[in-house]
Amino acid sequence: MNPERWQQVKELLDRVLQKDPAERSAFVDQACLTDPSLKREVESLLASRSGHEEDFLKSAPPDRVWVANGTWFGSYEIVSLIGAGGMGEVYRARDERLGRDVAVKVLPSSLAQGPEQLRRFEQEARAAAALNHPNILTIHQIGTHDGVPYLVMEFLEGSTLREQLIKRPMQPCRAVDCAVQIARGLAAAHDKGIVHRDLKPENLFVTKDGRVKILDFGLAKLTQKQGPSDPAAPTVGTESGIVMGTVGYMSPEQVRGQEADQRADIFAFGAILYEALTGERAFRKPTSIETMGAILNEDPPSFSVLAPAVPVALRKIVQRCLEKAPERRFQSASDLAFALEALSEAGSSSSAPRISKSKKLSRIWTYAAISAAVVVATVLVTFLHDRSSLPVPVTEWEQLTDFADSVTQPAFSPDGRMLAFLRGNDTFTTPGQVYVKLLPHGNPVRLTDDSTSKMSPVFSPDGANIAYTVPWDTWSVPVLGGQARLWLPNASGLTWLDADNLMFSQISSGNHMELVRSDLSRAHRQTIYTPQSSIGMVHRSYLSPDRKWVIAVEMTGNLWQRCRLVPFDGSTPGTPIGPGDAICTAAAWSPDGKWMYLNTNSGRAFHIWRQQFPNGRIEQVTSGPTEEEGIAVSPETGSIVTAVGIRRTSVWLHDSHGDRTLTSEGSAALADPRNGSPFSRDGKKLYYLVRRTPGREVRSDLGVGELWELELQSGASQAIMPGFTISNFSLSPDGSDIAFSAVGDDGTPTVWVASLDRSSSPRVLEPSATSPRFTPDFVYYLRRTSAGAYVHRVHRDGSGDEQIWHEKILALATSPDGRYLAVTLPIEGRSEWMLEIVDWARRRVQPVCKDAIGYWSDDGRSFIATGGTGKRNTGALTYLISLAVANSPPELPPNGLSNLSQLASLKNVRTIAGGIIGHGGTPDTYAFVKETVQRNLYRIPLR
Amino acid sequence: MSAPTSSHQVTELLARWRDGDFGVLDSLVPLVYAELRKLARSYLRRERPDHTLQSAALVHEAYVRLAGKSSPDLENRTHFFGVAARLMREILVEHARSRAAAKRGDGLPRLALNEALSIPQQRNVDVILLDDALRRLAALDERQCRIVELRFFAGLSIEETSEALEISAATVSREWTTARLWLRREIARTSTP
Repeated sequence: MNPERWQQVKELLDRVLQKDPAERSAFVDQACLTDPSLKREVESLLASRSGHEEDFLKSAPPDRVWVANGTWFGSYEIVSLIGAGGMGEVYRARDERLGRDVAVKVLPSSLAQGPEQLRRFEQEARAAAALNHPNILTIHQIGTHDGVPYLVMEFLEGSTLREQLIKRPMQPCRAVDCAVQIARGLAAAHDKGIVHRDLKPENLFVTKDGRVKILDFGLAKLTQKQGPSDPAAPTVGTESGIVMGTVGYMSPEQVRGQEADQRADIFAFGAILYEALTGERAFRKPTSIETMGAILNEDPPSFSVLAPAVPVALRKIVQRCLEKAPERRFQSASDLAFALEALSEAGSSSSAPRISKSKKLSRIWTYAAISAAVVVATVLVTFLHDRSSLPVPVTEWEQLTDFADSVTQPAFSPDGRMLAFLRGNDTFTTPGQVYVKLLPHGNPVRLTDDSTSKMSPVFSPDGANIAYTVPWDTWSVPVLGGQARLWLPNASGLTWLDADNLMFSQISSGNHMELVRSDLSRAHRQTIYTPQSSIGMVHRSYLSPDRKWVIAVEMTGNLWQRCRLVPFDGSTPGTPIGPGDAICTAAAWSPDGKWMYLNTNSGRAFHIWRQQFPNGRIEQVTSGPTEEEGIAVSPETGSIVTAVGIRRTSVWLHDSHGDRTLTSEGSAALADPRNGSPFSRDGKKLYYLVRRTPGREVRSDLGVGELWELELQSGASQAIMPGFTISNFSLSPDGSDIAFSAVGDDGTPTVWVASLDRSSSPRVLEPSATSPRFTPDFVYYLRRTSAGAYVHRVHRDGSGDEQIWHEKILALATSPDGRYLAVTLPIEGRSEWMLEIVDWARRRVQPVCKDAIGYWSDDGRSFIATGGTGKRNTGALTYLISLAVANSPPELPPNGLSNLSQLASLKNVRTIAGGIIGHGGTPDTYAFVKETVQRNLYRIPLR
Repeated sequence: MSAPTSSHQVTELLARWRDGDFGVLDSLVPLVYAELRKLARSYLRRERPDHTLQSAALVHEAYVRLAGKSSPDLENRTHFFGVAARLMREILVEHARSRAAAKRGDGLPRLALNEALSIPQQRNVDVILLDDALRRLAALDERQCRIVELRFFAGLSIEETSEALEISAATVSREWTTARLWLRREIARTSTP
């Protein structure tokens, strides 16, 4: 055939296919009257159609093993091929010894290449074989035959759930019966730590007498694990996870390639039950990629459309299984089985005879039945209705304080009669004073009167003193009044374990802060938890009532992380708790230790959540337009106290006309200006941040959020990098590009480069990097490694990356020409930091001052210095130093300053009231952040 | 895991290619090929026939790894898939050939077992036979061959294929139907003694 002929054939074929099948033959005859060879061609092509042409070419080739009938596998003789299942071919075989039929599943030989894989196969398969449960397919034997692994299993007659579902959806009661059996089988396996990970209708077998058996337990995991000797293997499960799961039943975490536990099986179970009830797949799209998208982002079509007869209680169970966040699903298959059983009993018409029959049974049985019924009812209420009682309605909150400004971080006295708190704006370290209030109606009393930043007040066990953190030491003040004094240096977030023992965080080096316990002399010290990151810090910690667990609140760099549950004995680093995507700033235990209360933000606002210890269900306790901050659990009454309020920040412009506000959003802020001005080069635009992401600023003038561009002339503003949580950025000298640092879901910052006119998508310049500064030739940035952060530079096209300064530092500002660095680095052995200016090429260092922030204006003509991140005082001042030579360091004494205020006495220095500013084109133009916070203590009843 | 460092490189190459700079293909192909091969090697080893993802997922995965998750540029994506489909075909054929060579003499049928047994849920096809048939189809109609590559090896939908080849979806659909008929007949002819 030649191309011309094929075009002719194809064209006719097209036309034939448009016709009704009955008319095709006549149509071909008619069209090919003069061309019999064309007719033959078209007819042979049409004949190649078969029943399954829709499936033809929709799948890649297999990797199969072929076994001939009559082959012996140990003492089993292969009789015939039954079919091909999820993990290989299944043969019917004869067990001569016991005279019974068995099924032999021959697995892909690739499962067991090499001794290590073979050993693992046997280990995993044995664990699965140890499952002895009526709803799990029994495995009799495991072996290998010529290097090919196989399983000998019980021989079943019946069909898979898939085959049953092809015919029709199930009646709800039949579906519930099947579902209960599946859930029981899952529960038995999960109890032994075995997760299926590939549950689907093809893996569920319904025997002729109606029993459901789960097939292929533990096998999916085998295929996902990679041998250590496999160089091509991805280093994390991500890739294998995506490829391996059956797409329609994969859980969102499997789609994302994350670690999947038993809750992934619960998700798959939900998808199967949904399909059994509605006859439609829960997630089905034309392509697998779209299906994965639906799993991540969409809810399946409503039951009321597809299967209105399904009872609401059953729908709720399915929906609960299909929650996107594992934390919000049923946490165990036994809970699920229980909920389903309760449902089937409640709706079962056969329950009446069962009760009458019970009269004949022993008293104990009857008693057990009654208590079981009570439990079932409780569980039903818990699962189906409890969620409606939370969050606690605002009408039930009781206001305890009435300040016009803000209070934060409440703590109860040991007898529950007093509250200590800070009066200040910030929820981390805040300038402000320590207060106490006698409950219920006492007037708040101020205990301190100084200008330091403070954090985390807590009562001593005798109730006589309040300890609090002044970065990063513990101070103490008597409750009855008296002088505040430094009590324990290098100790923050301190709490008393009992009269003689303490738990607190201490700086081990740099800003790596670990959680320790010790006696009062600090002689016997023991580490409880050390954050993995070298810039990880535990800031707050809470011991469980049984003294076995600690909830640690931690920060990496200047970003809060998820809370973490760690064993008090420090034996393991523990696990993150609370909603999967939520950062967490404070926590508490219920007095009985059953609930962990968390102050978290899983969207745009901080609220109180709670999770059942240790990894149970998660509930939101407070909601609404306010944000809640801090948690004090009353030791007596069933209530918590938290600071409820609204914080608004806006960006202001200062210039020769005075001060005026520029932004209208409630959470507008400036990015860290250390490596770039927020103003465009022509001074016509301002770039600022809006918090629309689950970040939380550690201070009001260092924002985190979405980047917005504001036209100063017209006042029009728009988001220009939507979806990125940005903490700092730098504009290129030619004004065309922007380099910015954005925080990923896992908290890791990445430096991106994008064109400001958005003519191309942002691209990654450097992963694990922050603080970019554009210079004419390079982007300077801070590279985060496991050992610490180092200064690098790279060409803007990503080439020629090099480390330029040897010291491990904490924060970086780069002069606009790249010659000087203003670096913050730890003072050895002390919880203090030094700001230094480094001429990196000439290896010269000029100390500036302790605990200060310093940076250049974009034109290089000014150097700006203000108080450091941790030790910020009330009445902060910013110093603007005009430089005689652009891009140079300010002229300072060779050993630097002992106090930043000495700058005021230097020449060419202007003093500006307030914190960090974003410098504009002229010395008199700058942007700054104004904050208004109103926050008071409320008591929230719990149920 | 962070994206590989070559991520922005790929994105940029794709952008340049889209803008008509066909010279970048020389730099792009080796990157994509290496990534696909790496994925394919670990993937083919544990492949399972009843999974609908397979090569399509692989290509998608390679795209995510190379171009970065946050690269939403659909045009880039279809261009990428255009390149990847051809490479994927080469990789699968190479794999099938080496496997066949390793097993020669074992009496392994050329046609996949399940295909021969006509087990309905199986949709396997012998890649070597398909590759031969595609070569012959390309001689008759290059565009149909491309359509099959994109649909089968990269898992693109009709719409995505139409976007990649800049032809109407109706045309893709028609050509896909007739190409499959032709391939099916060709494969049946070569595999039946």
